[in-house]
Amino acid sequence: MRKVVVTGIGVVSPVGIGRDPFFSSLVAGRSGIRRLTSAFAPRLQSKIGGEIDFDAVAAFPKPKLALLDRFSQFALVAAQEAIGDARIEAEDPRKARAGVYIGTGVGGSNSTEASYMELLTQGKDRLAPYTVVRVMNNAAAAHISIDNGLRGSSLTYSTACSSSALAIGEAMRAIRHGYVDLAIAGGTESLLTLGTIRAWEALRTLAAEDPEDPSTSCRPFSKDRTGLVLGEGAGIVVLESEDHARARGATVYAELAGYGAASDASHLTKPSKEGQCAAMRMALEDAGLAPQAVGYINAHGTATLAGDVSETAAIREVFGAHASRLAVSSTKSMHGHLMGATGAVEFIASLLALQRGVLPPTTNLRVPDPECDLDYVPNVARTGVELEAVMSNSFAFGGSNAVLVARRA
Amino acid sequence: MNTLQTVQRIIAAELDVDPAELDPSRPLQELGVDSLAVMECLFKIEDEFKISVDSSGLAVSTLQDIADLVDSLVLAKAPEVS
Repeated sequence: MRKVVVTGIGVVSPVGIGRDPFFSSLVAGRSGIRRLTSAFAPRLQSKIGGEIDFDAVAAFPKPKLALLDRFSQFALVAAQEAIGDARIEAEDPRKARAGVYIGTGVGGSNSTEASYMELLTQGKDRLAPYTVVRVMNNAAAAHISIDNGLRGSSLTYSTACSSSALAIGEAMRAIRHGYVDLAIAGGTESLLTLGTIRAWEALRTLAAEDPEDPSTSCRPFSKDRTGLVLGEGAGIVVLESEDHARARGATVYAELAGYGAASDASHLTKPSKEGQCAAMRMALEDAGLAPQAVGYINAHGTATLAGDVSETAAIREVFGAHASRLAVSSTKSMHGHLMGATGAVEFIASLLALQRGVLPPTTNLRVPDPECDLDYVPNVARTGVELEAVMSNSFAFGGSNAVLVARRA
Repeated sequence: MNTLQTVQRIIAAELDVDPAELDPSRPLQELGVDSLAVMECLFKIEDEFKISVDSSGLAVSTLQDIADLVDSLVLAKAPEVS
């Protein structure tokens, strides 16, 4: 079985576009959450989100842009960065067996919503021919494949909040077992539309806006947390076998050593400690690591009342006494919940923490919660940390849990 | 502006090129208008000329073909509005 390593990283996030701006913001504790600028924002109960200032016109030629929903735009920008970072040659023979594995929760929702608005409220009776190709959930993966000549399997995973962690895990398995030689894996999401936000509001899971500073509204593990903050973005990694990476002299961030996927099989929205434990244990076993080897966990940590308690309990159960020596942080406190992209973006944060020995903090952690009693790296980043392995947790509505473990390569 | 010029302008806007670059007699494929882009262009042309192109319209191969098709559809429609 082949070892799989990460050789390229690309990020489009509310705290920065590009690997280094992204991680610098996390380390500095800078939030990307703000008052939404959309015209519909005043109608919302919670008017905040992790919104990206993204110049699509500068990023793509006009004829190309006409084909791209915002979720595909983010994916392409992140994929280009990752492929460039990995220095994959244009003529790399592995492209014939290179796969694309992309997670997304809602796909081309901006285009879906805009087209339905025209049809249902603006008196139009027909839609533009590009509607289908902008809206389809596999559009992002398709564009990455087409633009880069990647001719292996091109797959799209949709398991809500764990979509992109699952996509990365499945890509790892495909390389391990020889189905593909190279994989572009991650996730993308752009769901800050009136329809999507309204739907989330109805579930009463969105955070209340902090009246003094909206950027501090997401407060994972803090007693005064009120819920999650939606965000948009994309995270993409390049995965390849360690043999290939070493042979071509690639820079290796880390080994993607373990993947665990387990379902709660209990409730659509209520998190289950058992399912979360199962996924974490499976990832550790897959990596062949004892719990003590893990020094940092990028938590799912959405800042919902029930979710943070359940994850804390699950970590305690899996890691036992070591849980008290573990650092656990939720970077969602800064970038928000990127849904289908969140697992990939947080896995990237974990990789950079491992590589650089710097732990991004959980910001806005002001009031201790007796039920959330781990070391959450409160408010200030920690530097000079020797790490052997890191874990990234993603737990989804629907009960689909995905956990990734990376180890120093 | 005659029909051909209007068609050139619409397609040039889609392709983000100068209308003068679009030779009316060259195949659309060679101008960079693939089968998918033909649909999108026809959609905008239908709006502009208030016509409806049925599936037979997809057989067009040059800009001149499109202009001729538009002229015939506009003409066919004329008695209804008089």
